[in-house]
Amino acid sequence: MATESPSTIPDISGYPRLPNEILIQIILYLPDANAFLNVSQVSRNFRELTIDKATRRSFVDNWFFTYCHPSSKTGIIQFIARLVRLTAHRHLNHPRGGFSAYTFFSRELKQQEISNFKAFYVLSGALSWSKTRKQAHLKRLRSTSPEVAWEGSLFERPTSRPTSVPVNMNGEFVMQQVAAFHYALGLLNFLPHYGKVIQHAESVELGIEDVVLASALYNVLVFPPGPKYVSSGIRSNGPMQHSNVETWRKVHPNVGLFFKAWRECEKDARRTNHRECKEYGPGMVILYDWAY
Amino acid sequence: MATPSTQATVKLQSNDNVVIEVERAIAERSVLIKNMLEDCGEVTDAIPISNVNESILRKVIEWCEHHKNDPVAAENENDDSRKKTTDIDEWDQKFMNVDQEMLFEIILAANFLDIKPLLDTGCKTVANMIKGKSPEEIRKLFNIQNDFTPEEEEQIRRENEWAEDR
Repeated sequence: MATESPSTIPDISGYPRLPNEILIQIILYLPDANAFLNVSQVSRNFRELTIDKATRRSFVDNWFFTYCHPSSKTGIIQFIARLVRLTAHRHLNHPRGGFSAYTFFSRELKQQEISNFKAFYVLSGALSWSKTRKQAHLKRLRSTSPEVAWEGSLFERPTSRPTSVPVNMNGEFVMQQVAAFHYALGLLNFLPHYGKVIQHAESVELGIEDVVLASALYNVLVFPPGPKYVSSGIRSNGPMQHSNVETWRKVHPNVGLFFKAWRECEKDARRTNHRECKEYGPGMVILYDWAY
Repeated sequence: MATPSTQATVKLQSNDNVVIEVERAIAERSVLIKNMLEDCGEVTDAIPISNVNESILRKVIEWCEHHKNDPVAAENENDDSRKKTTDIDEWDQKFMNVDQEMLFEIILAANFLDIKPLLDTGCKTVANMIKGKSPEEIRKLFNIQNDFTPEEEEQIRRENEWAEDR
């Protein structure tokens, strides 16, 4: 049998001749976490490159720096990703998976800076992830982010808790009434740990999981282009809708760049379609997503 | 240190012994060549570019010619260089629209000659090719052998399960 000489064997691949230092540079340019995770499943070499802590760290840092820099319009997404990781341990055990409006209005979250979570839940409602997917994400966050002692302090019952908050038989605040109650009190003054939550969120170490969530949020916010409107869900109360945007702006200065008060959408002549996240029921902040 | 030279052109010799004369300013887009010229002063002999053949060297020179007036990035990484968008300008996209073998050769040449913007453009081009593809599609695209055992593949699949749509 004739043997093939080495010179006649075709060069089957340009790829193996790229050294790892260049492959790492290519990996750092991948535009989203899915591409990163897919590359990690290609071969042993790519797997070793992508599980390397330094490469992973650089990818995550570069991704957030590029797409969700704190000073940019999309900086709110980084802040939300940090909040989700910060609170993953609290949310996971919740019967509805933690991404829901139910948790938002539960007694537990009521006791702290709820306005922080509004931005999170608005975007959560806009995500197309199923409940199973959300729960899997939170579990993953929990497994990659050990619970720390200080976290509990964020959830302590405030000493100055108002006594007239409406609570149902399960100990949960009643949504419509609570929304109105927040408005009456002024959201930021009501909850005592506002500063702590922000401080701890900013110190959270981000991981590849956060890029997965942030990529999804980025796509929701940036595509399609056009204004996003927010509402408390209590549509008859115009001033309240405005106050929500203003409140969020206190939490993150760039929120207002993305969101407008819901009632402004009524005047938007260019709108052709809208989607309402109804599943969260009355009282939930709603994202109006206009496609042009 | 050598006296700064005012020579207008330099000769570059590819690894298949073809000598190409180019404007010094164009050749100096390569940090390797720039440093060499600064260290040696006037160079009349052809500079051997041992890792690059003629066709790739001409291609790289074409890129340098087009970008000869681009500002040279500072040595230290600035904020802009940390940004890793995959945006590529139109001319560069056309320039990189070559077969895969040549694309990799250009990347290697840019790496060897230390032309960071060209290296970045090459890496972005490959990253864009990977975007949206499954592991199997990436293997097929770059002709990469799957060297995982079935058990390893299953383990990796389970590890990444949390990120799957379902």
